Amino acid sequence: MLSVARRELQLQLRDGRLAIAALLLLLLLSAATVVGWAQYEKGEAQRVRFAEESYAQWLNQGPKHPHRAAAYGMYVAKPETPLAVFEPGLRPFAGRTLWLQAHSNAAFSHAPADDDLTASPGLGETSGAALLQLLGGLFAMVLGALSVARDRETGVMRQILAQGISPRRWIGGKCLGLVAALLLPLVPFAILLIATTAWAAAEGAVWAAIGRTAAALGATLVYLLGLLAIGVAVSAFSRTSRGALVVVLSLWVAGSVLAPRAASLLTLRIAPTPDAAVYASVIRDEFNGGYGERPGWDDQLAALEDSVKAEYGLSSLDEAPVGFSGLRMQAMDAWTNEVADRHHAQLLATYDRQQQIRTVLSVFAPYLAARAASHGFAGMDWAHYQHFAAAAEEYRRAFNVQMNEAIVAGTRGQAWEMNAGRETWALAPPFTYQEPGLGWALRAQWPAVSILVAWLFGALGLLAFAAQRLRP
Amino acid sequence: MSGARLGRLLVLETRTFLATPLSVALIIALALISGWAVFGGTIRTLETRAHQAVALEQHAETWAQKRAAFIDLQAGRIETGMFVNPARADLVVMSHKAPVVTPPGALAPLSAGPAREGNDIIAVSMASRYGQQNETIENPTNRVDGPLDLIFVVAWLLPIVLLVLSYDVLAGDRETQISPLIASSGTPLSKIVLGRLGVVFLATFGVIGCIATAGVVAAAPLDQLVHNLPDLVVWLGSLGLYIGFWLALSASLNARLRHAAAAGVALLTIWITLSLVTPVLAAQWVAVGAAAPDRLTYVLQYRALQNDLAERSAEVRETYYGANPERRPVRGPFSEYEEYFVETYYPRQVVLDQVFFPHAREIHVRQVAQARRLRLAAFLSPPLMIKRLTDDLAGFAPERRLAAFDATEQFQAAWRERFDVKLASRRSLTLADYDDLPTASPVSEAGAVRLVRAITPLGGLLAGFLLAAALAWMRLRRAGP
Repeated sequence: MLSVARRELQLQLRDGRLAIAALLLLLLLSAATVVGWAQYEKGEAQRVRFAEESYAQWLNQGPKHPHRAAAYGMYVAKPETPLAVFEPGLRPFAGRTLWLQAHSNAAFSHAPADDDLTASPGLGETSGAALLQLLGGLFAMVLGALSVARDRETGVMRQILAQGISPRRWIGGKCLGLVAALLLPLVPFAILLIATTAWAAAEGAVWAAIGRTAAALGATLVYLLGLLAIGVAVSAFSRTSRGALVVVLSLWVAGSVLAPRAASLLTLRIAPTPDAAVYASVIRDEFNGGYGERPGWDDQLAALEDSVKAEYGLSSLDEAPVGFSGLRMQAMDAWTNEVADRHHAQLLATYDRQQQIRTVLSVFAPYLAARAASHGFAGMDWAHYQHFAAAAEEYRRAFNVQMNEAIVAGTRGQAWEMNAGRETWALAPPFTYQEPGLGWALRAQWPAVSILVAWLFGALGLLAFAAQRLRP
Repeated sequence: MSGARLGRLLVLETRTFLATPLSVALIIALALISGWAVFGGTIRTLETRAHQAVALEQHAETWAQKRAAFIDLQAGRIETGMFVNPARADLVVMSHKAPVVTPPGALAPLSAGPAREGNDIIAVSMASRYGQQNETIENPTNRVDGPLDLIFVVAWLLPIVLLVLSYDVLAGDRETQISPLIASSGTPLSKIVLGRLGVVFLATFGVIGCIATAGVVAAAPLDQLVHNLPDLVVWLGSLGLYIGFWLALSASLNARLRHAAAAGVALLTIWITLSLVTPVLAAQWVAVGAAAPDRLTYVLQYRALQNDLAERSAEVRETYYGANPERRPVRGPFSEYEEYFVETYYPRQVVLDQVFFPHAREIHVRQVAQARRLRLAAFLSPPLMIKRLTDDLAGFAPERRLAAFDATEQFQAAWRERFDVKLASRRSLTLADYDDLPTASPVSEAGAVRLVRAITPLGGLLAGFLLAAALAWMRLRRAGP
């Protein structure tokens, strides 16, 4: 089997087309990574400057009412892992910033594709990961498709099988040779990428960066090997290399070009994300009208007024020894958060359902699974964005509580107007965020990785079946 | 070759085409995908129109309710409260939002464009709109691949269908040794290739052209149909050139290569280069020469200005009153909320917009610069060219967004002008203030402007087709069996 593998590798190396295709792939991957590196460096520098300046603006906003300070708020932006040089994931389409302010949960805004025409979908694939999954996948399938059918056309297969070599061993050997040919351009690139991400990682995060890169590359490799096996199986079933080429090209187009868009379409049909304006208005309505046994805001406010009067033995709230407007803001925020949390839980359930639909669809189109795993290990998938948003929301609520406490302490009775200054704003420390570890990413990506592994074994089974039925 | 012989050849090749299951299956698949894409586009366009109509109706209805409340107040049927008083401009107009809509473009069913949320409705109020966040709760995973619209099918899938239908148009016969027999029949090989590719052209153009036309007609209001016709004709012309380009490439390779597989691989390589690689190069060229607007800096600038104006609020207020003494309050505030919103918040919004206007407009100006450069860069890639052309005709040209920005600016100025003095001076509203509101016309663009913009990509497609066709013709004339 090894000698067949060696011979196949030699044949592939002698074939100028393979060398050119492999070189081109390597060149494209390297160029994409260099461009990715430049974008990552520029983006991170912008992000750090943005976060620092936004916090400085918060601190330097001058004397004003604490609620107006909270309404002014501050911005935070999601950091990226070093693997984003290779896999920017959702970056072009996910908002870069979260505006943390007084009235509502933060949602992402300012996606690069909203402003930058060159980030729009359909302008080719700029990331190394996308090129590897798309073109690498095509390369693997074409490599496989031309292997057995060409030997059948030229009569080589008849000669070899006439020597008594078992078809299974012969195809196994060919596959090993093709795997070696596929790995030739990929191994140096993988080493280079791991070194790059390790070098770019912050102190203490080097192993995490290496782990994430290795996991992403590993998942992609499983995908490519699966496609190679399918290509060889198709080749073994086809009478001509023309036929094999048409079949693998159709499979590639259906699985890698058409399936992702069809998946988005189906996902949005089955589990649509609510319209942002409708989502906000439903929360507003529930805030005003209440839900279940919980009364709406006006009734809650009346109850609060009564309880404060009762607590301090007042006939009018104007006599309250604390700032009632601050207490009202506290109650309003607590109620807003309660209502928002209910709807946010539904929204998260919708995202989960969308993810489940994609997972089911990726059983039929493993490209979706390969990409999901790649996005996830790079920390650039929606789950990572949501993790960041959850941390930012916790921070937002904490500084809103501080601002409301400042109103309680700074006003009396029903008075509203007051001014606070820098010492109050400084009660909110700068926002810090800890990226989840590789284990978290692995747990999130296990369905995608399982599907890829299942596909690989399925493709190998198909290959074994094809080898069993192989006729010269 | 006479017309009759060409006709007979076409009929013969059509029969052969229809007798090939793969060809028929591919055309059916293309029709199904195109139909699905256009159906989705038509629904999307109709929904956008409906949303816009609802937004305009809601605005009118809310305003009518406020007007009715004012009449009730005058008749003594309702009482005023701290936050309820139809005669107070700050309570009536500060929170009121009037929509400015940009109706879907002529070919909207064919392209979803950047597929943002919002249905092209811009809400205008007395407050500044430059700080609006454009927040979204959409899962970006659903945006990352772009929509399954017709332009995706045309730009990226159609060439593969053409490739499969034509990669062995002559090389296949050479492989099976039939070509000498065909060559001996008296009909030149070049004419036979032309006949075969003509059938593929008619089949693909017919299917996509009919489906696209049906979608455009179904989605357009009757009064718009005639206005949309030139756009449709230009698009169908560009579709013909685009299909012609790929078929000419196929003919040119078939004239030379002896193996169908080699022709297929070569065509696939060209497809990858033109569809996946050169658009990236074009995008890089655009990014270098026409950088995208720097939104993060924009946000920081806006907030810095907010801080600055907040700190100088007394100066801002006096400048605002100084510009028109009629704005000075004629009475004291009813509450500290009214005092803040009328004397501090609103003057700051007006000054904020005056100072920040150039920065806000710059975002759109930069996008226009990007689009212009992208139209030139698209000469590198026919798929990019037809995508750009379709997006432009579908209403997603940045020039149109700039026009919408300017129109919104004008409308907001008129809206503010209407209530400015009443709001600032705390004079009571009258029934006349409720009537004859400024109205925002839907943002429209002259057909000639759209078509002039289409000249560059259309010229590119024509040039690409002519080059490929000339190359194919030269090679086919010398092609042997």
